Amino acid sequence: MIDEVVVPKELQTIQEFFGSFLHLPINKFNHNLESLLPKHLKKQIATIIKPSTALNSFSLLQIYHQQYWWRIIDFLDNMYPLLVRLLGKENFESKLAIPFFSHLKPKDWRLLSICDNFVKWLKNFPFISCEQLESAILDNAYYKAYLSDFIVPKNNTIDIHAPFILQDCISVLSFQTKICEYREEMLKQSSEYWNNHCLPTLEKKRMFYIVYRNSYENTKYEVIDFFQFEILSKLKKGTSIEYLSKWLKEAFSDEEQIYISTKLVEWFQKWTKKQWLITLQEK
Amino acid sequence: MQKQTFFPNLGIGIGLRSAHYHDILTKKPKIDWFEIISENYMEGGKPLEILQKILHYYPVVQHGVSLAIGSPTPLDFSYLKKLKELTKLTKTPWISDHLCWGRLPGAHFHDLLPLPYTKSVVNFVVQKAKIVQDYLELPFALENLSSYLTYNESELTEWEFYSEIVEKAGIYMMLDINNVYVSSKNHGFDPIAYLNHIPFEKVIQMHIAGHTQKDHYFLDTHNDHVAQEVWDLYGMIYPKVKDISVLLEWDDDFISLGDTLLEANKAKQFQTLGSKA
Repeated sequence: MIDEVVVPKELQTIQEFFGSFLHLPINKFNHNLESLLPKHLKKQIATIIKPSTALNSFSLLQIYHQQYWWRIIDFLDNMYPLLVRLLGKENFESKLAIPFFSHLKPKDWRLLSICDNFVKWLKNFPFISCEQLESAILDNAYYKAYLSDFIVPKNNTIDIHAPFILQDCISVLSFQTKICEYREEMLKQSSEYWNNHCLPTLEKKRMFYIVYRNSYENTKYEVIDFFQFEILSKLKKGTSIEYLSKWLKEAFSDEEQIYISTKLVEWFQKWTKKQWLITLQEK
Repeated sequence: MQKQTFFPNLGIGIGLRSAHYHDILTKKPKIDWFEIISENYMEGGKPLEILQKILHYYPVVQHGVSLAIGSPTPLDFSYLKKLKELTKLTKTPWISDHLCWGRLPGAHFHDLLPLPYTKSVVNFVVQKAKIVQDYLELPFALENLSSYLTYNESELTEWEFYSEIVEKAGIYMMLDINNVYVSSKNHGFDPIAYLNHIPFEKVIQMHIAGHTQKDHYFLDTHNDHVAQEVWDLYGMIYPKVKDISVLLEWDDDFISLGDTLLEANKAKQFQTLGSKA
């Protein structure tokens, strides 16, 4: 459906002007912006916005500008609690949140799209360390687990021909550090606390995790091994047991296959018991 | 007052906020009803799971913040579709959003931005509001904003603009008394004059909330107790709105669920006064 209501021209002019003003990055407003504004812009503001008895047109518009930026920055603060603690709130906001929103403005009402776009943007951001990026990926997985649906599977048996997929609220992750344990520790304290205390050491070690929301509505993580990581990553994209068996034979050595074959039934029993797998039809 | 035979008076409600989920689900306190911010549950996930549990025990009314009806972009029907799906679950007796704009092509401002009060904007919003109400197949109400600026172009008062849209579109009012007060302080109009011009037969629900007084303006923060001036305005119009559902909005610097309810239930003082009179 589409509505074909014609927008009054004067209204559209005001809104386009207002919107372009809101989109001006907030760091430019820190010091005496009004004096830095070009004359024609000041004139335009005064033409459009009626001054109040206490504030001029610019100051009134600035209330909305600040509200816009504080609100969207606050979204990211809440979505990325570990990264905020690692960098400190001020650094996070000035060095990441503002550049991100200056580059990629929110386009719709969904917060999950902001969360996903941020981590995608961060992957190409030149001034980010491996630990910071891993923190962001993990925070993103937690937020996704919170906002994605958990579907109760119709039955707990596995049809080997039916394509299976991991629930949307589950992320399969590989990191260079013991970041999940670290996140748990860091989130026990506020970002203000970590501003004044030494950060704990983040142990470097190749780790594989699964982050999921369970049927009690809590988000958890579990350490998994490399083989579970590989199989669950395959299941994240959706596959049948039949196809998975063929793939296992191609992807792993004989020795590895022997190990996997001793574990596979146990793993699948655990994953189905935890209701991590659903059929593509259920999704 | 024909309206009152159609819309139930749900009593005194509070906004459903995540800070209180645990207490609500474990203690199941006596609360007449909850209002939800629709968007908080439209992405699914844990919030929706919790809402489904709460719906077993309490009536829930939907209130939105992202429709941005006065925006120059066409209505977002993918948003409206999800909104409508949620109404099937909540069985909300009516649905509301704000009389504002907040989108441009390729941009969403996540804010409730004020419109110029002109005849052409009235006609523009009226057409959109009719489409929304028809599409949602529910009584649709628009809420008056707290605003911090007005436009030189405006040719109507806020209450004329608001009333005319509601009347012409055949929709309803979600009257926020705190917003009337905050805007009156920011723009220097008389809140009593505003309320004297409201077609109360069109009011489907009411909001009360706290605000913050800054150096040079009043900010609608929903993070404090309701100001006495706002209670006074509510008391003044109470004889006209005694059968209309009222809701306390508290969205930041949360206090306990019990204290939130105590604040909301201050609205009962007028019921007592009314019965004594």
